[in-house]
Amino acid sequence: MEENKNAKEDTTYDLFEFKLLVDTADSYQSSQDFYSAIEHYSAAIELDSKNAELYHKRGWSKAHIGDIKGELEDWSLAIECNPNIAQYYADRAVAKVTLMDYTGAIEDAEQAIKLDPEQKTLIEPIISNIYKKIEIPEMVDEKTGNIPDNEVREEIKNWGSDRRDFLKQITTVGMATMTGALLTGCTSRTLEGGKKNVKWGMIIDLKKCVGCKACTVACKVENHTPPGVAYNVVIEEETGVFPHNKKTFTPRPCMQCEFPSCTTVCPVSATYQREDGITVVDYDVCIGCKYCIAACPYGARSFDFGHNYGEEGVYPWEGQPSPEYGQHRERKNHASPEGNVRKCTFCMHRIYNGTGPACATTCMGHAIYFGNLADPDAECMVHGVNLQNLLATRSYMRLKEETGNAPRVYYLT
Amino acid sequence: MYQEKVHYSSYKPSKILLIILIAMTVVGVIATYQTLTKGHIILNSTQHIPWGIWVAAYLFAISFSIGAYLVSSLSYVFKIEVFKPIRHLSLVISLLGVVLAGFFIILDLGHPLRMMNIFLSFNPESPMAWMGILYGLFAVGLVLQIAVSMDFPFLKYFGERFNYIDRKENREKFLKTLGVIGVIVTLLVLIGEGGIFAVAKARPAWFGGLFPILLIISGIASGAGIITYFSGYIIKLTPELKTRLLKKVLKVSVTAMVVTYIMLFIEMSTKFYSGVAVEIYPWSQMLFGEYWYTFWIFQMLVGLIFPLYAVLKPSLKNPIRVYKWAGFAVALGLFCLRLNIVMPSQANETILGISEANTHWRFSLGYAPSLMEYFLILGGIALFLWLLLLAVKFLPLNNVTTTSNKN
Repeated sequence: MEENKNAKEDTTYDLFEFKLLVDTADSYQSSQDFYSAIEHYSAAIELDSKNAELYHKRGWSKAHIGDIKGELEDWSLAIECNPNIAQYYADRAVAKVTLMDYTGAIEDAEQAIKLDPEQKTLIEPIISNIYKKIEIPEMVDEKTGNIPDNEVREEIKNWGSDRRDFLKQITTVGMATMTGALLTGCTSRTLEGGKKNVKWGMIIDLKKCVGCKACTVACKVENHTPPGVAYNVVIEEETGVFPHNKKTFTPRPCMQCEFPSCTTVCPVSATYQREDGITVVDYDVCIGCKYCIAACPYGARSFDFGHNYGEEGVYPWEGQPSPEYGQHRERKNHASPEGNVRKCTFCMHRIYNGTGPACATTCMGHAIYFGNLADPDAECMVHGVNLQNLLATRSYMRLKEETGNAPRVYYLT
Repeated sequence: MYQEKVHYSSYKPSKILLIILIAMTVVGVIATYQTLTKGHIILNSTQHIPWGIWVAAYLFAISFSIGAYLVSSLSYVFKIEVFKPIRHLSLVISLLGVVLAGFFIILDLGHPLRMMNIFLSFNPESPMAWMGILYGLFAVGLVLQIAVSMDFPFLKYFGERFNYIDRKENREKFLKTLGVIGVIVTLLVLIGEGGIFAVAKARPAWFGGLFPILLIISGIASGAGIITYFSGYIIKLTPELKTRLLKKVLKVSVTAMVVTYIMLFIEMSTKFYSGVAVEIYPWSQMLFGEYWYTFWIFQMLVGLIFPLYAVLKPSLKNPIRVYKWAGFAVALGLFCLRLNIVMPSQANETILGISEANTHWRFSLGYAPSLMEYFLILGGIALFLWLLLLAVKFLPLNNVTTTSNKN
């Protein structure tokens, strides 16, 4: 354990007990029992509340259970206790990227480099990730992802402060716009975005799907969906008579239709299609009328009735915020998304961090391909296979073509 | 100055009715509290049947509200004298239907307090959004029409405008204008309401042009039926005039109901003829499924055959009582029709096998209302009746007679 030089010397606690707590927590963390690790780190922190490394380690455990806000808090506390450790700033920068606070992430990244230039190799992926999001390709080497030089870094800083001024300006404009919106009934689409010229889609190979339903479980774990809500299910169909019978398994995520039925019927424009083709639900606007559920031809939407897995209250895992839409909402006190309609988002929060949807990355049979269907050269984010080539060389079908919804999920038959 | 002599109804509710109403109010309050504090976990609706008995009740309320208004327009717009005694009551029943519909649908929302989002982020492509806006406009116009028709005191403060409508012929002209606008708006509301179902291509039993027309016709039937029932208690006329009045209103109700069932029969028979499983399934559930008695007993026997008998039989022993209950039977039958429209159509799987893809009960195709859902229905009925009793006490719901002009 790194000695905390700035810590006030406090010998009022039992050192043996303290070391025992920390060692126990460390071993829980190594064996990936992160909840127990957090419990023990917290107990140790009660004995020594100025120990930066304890906050840092607890932050790591929280990161592993998806508690991004808790992780961020802990790293801020670690920095408060010892502002001279570059690693703390680097880790906080990663958390801020996940929470889409890019300006804050860049500031922390720069601070980390200032304290320890060796941190450069750790910071590179963070910075290049941010650049991809803000689309400044000339500032980064696409192949190596090298950190830009000092001149460029200055420019980013200016961009950051320009952005802050810009944000102040648009707040004023925004107030005027909202007044107009009230009069005209238009809404600001807070989940709008995505890359231009990208249409995310999925190709599922029915010959490879073995019906294990790992995709259903992975989706549930990733999105922290409660009981009674399922974004991705596997439909089983048995045909024929023994010994000439067979079973077909059809995973059914949201079809992310090109012409969705759900968006046209929503009375409050809470659900709409982004530029990248993903249909989203704004939980703060949705009134929970369930018209979209009635309108969806694929049964792909679920209403959050408020169930929990715990018999009395909420289990620790399900109390953690869901990373959906990068919003990290906690389901408590009947706040959204409880009482809202929920759906698969192709793990939007993952794909813009460079990882494929949970179902695709989990699938044992490598049956799920995912990527940009608008680009003829695009490869699957998970398996690296050219997507258009798959559709060109294999026969495929889409569910309920007769509806005219043009789903973006293709099934290879 | 023109002055009308208006009559207030002498109807007084019995003690038994009051006790029943209090009990219904208590359970309604419990259900409302549970809904607002615990959310929709208390409902039995599922991911495949998202709309349950509250939506069916809302649909019934909105239909009879509009139907009652259209019955009132027989007097206000088309100047048919025989319907004049019930025109005030029709307007009030229409307004109470608006309140009842609002009560059910607001509580059916996952986030009721966000209802204003319909105005703040209006989606012009959504039939539900249009229906909400138009229904709101209708409610405002209805309140104005009631205020003018029943000479509310606050109108005195409108100075010149009031003087204009204070003269009888001007008032009638103003009411006729309001009535014409009201008829157009209500027809648009019901077309919008039917459109909510008609555009849902995911539900074959709803998809198509039938529902807007069905809702208009059956709305007139249920509105007239409810007016017939309550007129039996509230309107004070000589027995001969009252019998004649109730029979006329009941005839409107039964005629509209027969047309409704003819349309339904045509729709059903074409579906059965097609042999397409997804098209047939909802209708076969209605006729032969678990809740077959809703159709055969409540809709057919009680809701159709009994009122037809009442209207067609040349002489009855106690015609007022028979017509009153025939009106109630029409309304009951059409409420059951709403249940059969809303529920079985959703019990069709969108993709074969999807209901078995997840074992949680919220993914099942079966639906039976929970206790709290029934409690809220009872509470809604109690709310309607309490407001009607208040209206009976404070508003001139009985027939209107005119006196000579006085300066």
